[in-house]
Amino acid sequence: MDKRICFLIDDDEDDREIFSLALETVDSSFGCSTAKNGLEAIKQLQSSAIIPHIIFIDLNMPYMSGKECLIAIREMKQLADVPIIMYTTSSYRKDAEDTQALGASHFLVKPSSIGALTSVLSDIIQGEELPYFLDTAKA
Amino acid sequence: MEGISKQNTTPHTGYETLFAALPSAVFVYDPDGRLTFFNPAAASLLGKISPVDEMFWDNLNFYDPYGKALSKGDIPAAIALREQRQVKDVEIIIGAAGGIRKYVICNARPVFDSNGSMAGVVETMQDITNREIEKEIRSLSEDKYKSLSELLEQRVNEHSNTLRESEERYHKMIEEVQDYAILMLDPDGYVLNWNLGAEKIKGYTEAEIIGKNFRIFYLNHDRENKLPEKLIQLAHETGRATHEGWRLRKDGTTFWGAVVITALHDDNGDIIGFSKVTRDLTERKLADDRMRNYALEIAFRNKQLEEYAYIASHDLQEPLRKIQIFSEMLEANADNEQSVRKNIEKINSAAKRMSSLIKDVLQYSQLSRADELFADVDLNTVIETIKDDFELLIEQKNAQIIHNTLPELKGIPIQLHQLLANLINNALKFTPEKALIKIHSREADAAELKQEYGLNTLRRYAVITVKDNGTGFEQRYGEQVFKMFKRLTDNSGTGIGLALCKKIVENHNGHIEVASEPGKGTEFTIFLPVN
Repeated sequence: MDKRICFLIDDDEDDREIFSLALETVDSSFGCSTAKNGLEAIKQLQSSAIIPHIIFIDLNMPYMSGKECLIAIREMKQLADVPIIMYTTSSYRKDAEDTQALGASHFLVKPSSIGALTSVLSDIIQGEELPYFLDTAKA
Repeated sequence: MEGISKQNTTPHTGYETLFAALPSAVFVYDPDGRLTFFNPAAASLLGKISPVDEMFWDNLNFYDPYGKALSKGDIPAAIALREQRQVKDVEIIIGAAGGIRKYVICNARPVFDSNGSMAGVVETMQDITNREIEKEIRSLSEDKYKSLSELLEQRVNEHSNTLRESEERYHKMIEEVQDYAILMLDPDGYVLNWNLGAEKIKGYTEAEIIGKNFRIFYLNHDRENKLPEKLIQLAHETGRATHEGWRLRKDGTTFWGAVVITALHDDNGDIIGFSKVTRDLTERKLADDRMRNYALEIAFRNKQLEEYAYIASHDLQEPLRKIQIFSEMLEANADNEQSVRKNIEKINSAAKRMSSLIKDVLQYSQLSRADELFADVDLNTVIETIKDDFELLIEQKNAQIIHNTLPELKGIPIQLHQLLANLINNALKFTPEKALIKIHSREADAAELKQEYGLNTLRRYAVITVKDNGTGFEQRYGEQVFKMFKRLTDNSGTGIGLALCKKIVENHNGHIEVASEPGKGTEFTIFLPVN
């Protein structure tokens, strides 16, 4: 059985590290693949035969914003069935609404603790019924 | 009547037809004075009031033209009978019952038979009643007219006195109105008169201004644009022209005038000049401007608040969140020395970032556009100060900063310093070594002042370029770099520096843009108004 992959696009090195750590804790059968901006991510996704299980996109990134990146990935036919989750510090409702309209499955506000992050990642991976807007600080 | 004419079949029958045709009344008397014949004009002389018969005369009264009563013996026919002579053209008045008065001219002449004896008298009477009445009326009217015209004259005099007084009062009123400049212009716009308000508002005395063209009240550029002529033309064509704008006083200061120019016409509808009423609305204008500035300021502040809300919800959260997470990880791995060191390092770095973000946000928030902050700024001095500030970094990077003579301009000193410091800092940051930063200034061509930049083509601008030989970036990200928190690299910047630059340039009514090429370098171009 192939290792299932979570693909994170985030320009923040710390966040990429924290995310990998949390994912490892939740389910070691998941592999974490990352890109540090949208351009790099699109290149990787186009050149690889591997279809990620879930894609996480940060909102505020240089060169290509999270929204632009979301649009570009949604246009890729082979990834049409892959859920995309916005992963951002922003709890700005407008951003959440915009990305939902653009085809995002969830809007996850970056939690302020590893524990909260692992918990919400676990729910997502297990396919729990979850609201679109996920903010662990308010849950 | 018919009876009477039948009765009068006299020996004179042969003349009957002739008499009947005469417009004058004809009476024929026998030598004893009895009426023997009369013609239809005679019958109708007194109408039905006094039918003509033998007794005809007995019922009548006679007067001379002055109204004095005459006896029966004094009437012309009686005289002619008695004295056997002709009585010619005697005017008498015959009065009958019912107030009837007839003015007549009588001619009576005795008639003699072939023997020379008296056969009677033929009397003719010509009715001049109407003529007399007319005469009377005429004379009466003459008096009346005379008094009427006197009256009229008197009235006219009174009226014109009143008019003159009212005119004087009116002139006085206009002369003494202080809140409005009220003056008359001839058709070419030369000042014909002047009031106190005009003197007060515009500063010229009457003696100084009469005969001058009203163009003198307009600012140079309004005169160049022919504004006074356009207003006169408009008043000429439509009867009226209104305008609000800055006007010139004698002492060269300006006031905000609200002007109404109205065409004045003569009876033929030809324009004989213009009235011009000007109010000094400077106070109102300044108040309006203040209100507008307040409104702009409020809108600006609201936008800023929105930006800060976003900053608070996003960018300031980020390092805070990391501090929380790394603290948690530190706690969980307290026994692992390596992990502890690493997490503490992460916490410190996030805290530092937080601190610099707060500093930058604060700086951004303090960017005021207040006019009172503007002063003369010599950009050459600014560059020298920045060079001193960056001395260490410049040395480290083995950098060189060169510039030609930069302009002196009206600006907010601290902001212009921040602007150039940020651009130079940016150039140093993205040029790994041997940085060559060229700052160059020149005057802008009119063709470069594009409308979409919000630049005023009537003003002079300096074009200042800051060029480096650094890493550069792809031109398509040129717009992004000026956005708040937009970074093109994972370099240590806060993403505020260039947003700050853009805001500063906007505060100075200028424009900033960037051109860049990966591997070659970046060039920022700034348009700033100069005096």
